[in-house]
Amino acid sequence: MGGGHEQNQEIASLKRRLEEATDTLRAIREGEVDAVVVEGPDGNQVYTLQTADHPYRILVQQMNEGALMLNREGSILHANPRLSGLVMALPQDLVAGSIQKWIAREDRRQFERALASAFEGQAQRVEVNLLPQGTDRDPVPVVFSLAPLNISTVEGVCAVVTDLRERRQRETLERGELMARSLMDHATAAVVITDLEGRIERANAAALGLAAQPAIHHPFEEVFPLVFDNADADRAAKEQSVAGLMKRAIDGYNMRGLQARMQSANGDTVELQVSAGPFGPSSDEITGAVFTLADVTALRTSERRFRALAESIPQIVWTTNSSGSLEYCNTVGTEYFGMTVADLSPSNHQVVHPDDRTRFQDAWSKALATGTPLQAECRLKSGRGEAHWFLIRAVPIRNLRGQITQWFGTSTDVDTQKAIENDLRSANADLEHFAYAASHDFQEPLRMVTAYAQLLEKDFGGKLEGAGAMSLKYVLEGTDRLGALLQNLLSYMRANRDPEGAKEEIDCNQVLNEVLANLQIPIEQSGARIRSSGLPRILCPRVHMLELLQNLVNNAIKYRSPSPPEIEVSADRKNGDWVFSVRDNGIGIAPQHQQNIFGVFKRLHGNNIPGTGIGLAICRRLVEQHHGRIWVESQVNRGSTFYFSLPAAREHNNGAHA
Amino acid sequence: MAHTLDIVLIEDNSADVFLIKRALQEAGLSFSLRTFKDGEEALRFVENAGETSTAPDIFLMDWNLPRVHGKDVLRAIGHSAPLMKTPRVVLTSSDSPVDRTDVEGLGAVFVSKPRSLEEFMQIGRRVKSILEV
Repeated sequence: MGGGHEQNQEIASLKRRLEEATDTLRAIREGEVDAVVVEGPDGNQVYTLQTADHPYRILVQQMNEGALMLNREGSILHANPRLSGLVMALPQDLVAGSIQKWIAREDRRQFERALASAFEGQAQRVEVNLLPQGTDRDPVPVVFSLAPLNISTVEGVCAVVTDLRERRQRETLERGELMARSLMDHATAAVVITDLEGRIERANAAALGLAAQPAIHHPFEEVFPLVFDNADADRAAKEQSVAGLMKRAIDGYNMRGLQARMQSANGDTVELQVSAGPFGPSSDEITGAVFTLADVTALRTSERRFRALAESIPQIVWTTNSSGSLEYCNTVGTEYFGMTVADLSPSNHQVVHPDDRTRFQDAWSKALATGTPLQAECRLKSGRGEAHWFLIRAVPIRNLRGQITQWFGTSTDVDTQKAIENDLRSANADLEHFAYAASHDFQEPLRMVTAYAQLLEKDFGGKLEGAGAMSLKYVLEGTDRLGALLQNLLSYMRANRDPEGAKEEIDCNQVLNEVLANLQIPIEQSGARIRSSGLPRILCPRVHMLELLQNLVNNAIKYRSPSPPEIEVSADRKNGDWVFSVRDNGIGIAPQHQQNIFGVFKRLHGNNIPGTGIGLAICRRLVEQHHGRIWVESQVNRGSTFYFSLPAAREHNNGAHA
Repeated sequence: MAHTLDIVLIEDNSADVFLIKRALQEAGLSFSLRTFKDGEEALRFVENAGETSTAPDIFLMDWNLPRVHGKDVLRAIGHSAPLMKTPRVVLTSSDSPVDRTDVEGLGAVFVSKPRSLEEFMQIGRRVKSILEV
């Protein structure tokens, strides 16, 4: 019965395997062993920790992450070689030591909190800096993955330490690349990068917009058919073609500011300012060329407009650089001087007349040094050997930082005006001299006539009667009027001849008192009342103020209404001026006469009111000599107020007193 | 009136000579007048002073004299030993401050010829006060 025996053996074997499996399952279930059951061709294979221990150890020793076990205090129970590599220490220096000593001080609290949480049963991740052994080592950024570990009696935390340096480096590179890309795409200028053969590898949005055909992988020369301006005659010819430019860029040369034009995608001709240079990760590793094409069409258009404008006006228009060297001069200028800009620029001061040169150079140097506008009048020599007077003006042009980049100037031929002005001035001077001399010379015979007429009256007045007495009366009146007229005419002349330097600080109240004393007789005769509201102390020649107040007060009395004159003299500060006023209640002046009363010999009244017609002209001359103004406000039959202004000297601001 | 004053008048304008004489008379002065018509005549008188003639009590003179200017006449008087103490009055129609300074600088009294007769007559009283007679 062999069959029955085999059956029994098989049953016994199955029974044993079942018991084993049951034992294993129980052990696994009760946590005695960790095990893995793997189904294979030879039946199920059970792997327990016992069996895995060796491969795990190898795994931990070989892995590219740091691995370690820690107790509750952070003492290192086990550390793999990678960890000792991260902190540059031998494994035996690590074990039994504290992990905290390898962690940057500022990260320790955070690490300890994570460690404590891990002991509570929660896996943790914490980023810290490790401090490698040695003084000049950089901290190593790492992340600790902490997991609780409970193996029978051993309580601890196992940690995996990942080096973040590579990841950080990769992130930096990626960011750099993204930023470069963003920079290129946001640039308004077209940026194109080629390989060493001149084929386009990259082009930003502006470049793609400019190109009339697909760009990437096509030759730069075809996509951007640049035609260079030949205006830059001094540029090497090899830079005046795209191929030449490409070759020099690849050879390592940087070229800037080349002027070129091309047809853009929409068919317009665009004017470009081109820069080119080598491209590559470093100067030793050139992988191609980089081109920048800035659209300067608008700029060129505005430049052309400026030129057209500069050429169309009759003045000489010019520009210099910041140090005053001539850069441009319009045709009016080059034709006048008979020289080109190139001839003019090295020593453009040579065209200034020698007598005016030092003065001009001083003014120009001062303008250049201080950045203030230039204004000068001087003679400029023409190509035909003439010298005309010019009014030269220049203003600085500044960049956004306020630095002067250029001077923009005009020179206006004022020769004709200057000649007329000179003629007029000398004619005026002659006329004044004549008038002064004449008035002066008339004094002597007039004095004779006056004295002898008076002598006649004194000696024989009593004996004359009828026509004789009347004749003598008219002679005497005539000489009186002629005397007053000549006296006033001389004062008028003198008002312009007196040097204005004779300014003195005067108390206008005292001057007014003097005026009242001089006018004592007419004041008494007319019954005039004159009030003053405290006049200031000012800087002015005393005689000028005396003349002004006396003329105005005298007029106020002379041109009175039937009622007694009420006259008020006052002064007010207005901006930088003292405005004096003399107000009366007299006959007033009709509006149509208010302007011309200030002219010489302008009289509104006949002989019923005596006057020479010069008083107000003298006043105007005096006031204008001090850069002031005189005017009148008046209503017929109501009265007049005469005003005159004199600039107040700064140091006498508080001079007014009541 | 103690004695007759010896007055030298240097004046080219005879109308003024008449007026000045009248002014001196009206001031009640008793005087004899020696008149010179121009600067040259006056200069000759000054050079001969103390030899052929005596020193006068006062010089009255014009400023803008013909031939030799009043300035040179005044200077000569100042340099003449017999005349340097004699008072001098310059009567002129000039009212220029420069002339006034020049006249006073040469030790003379500056008097502007007045326009009115009344003021002209004051000249006599002025001479009287200078001579304290």
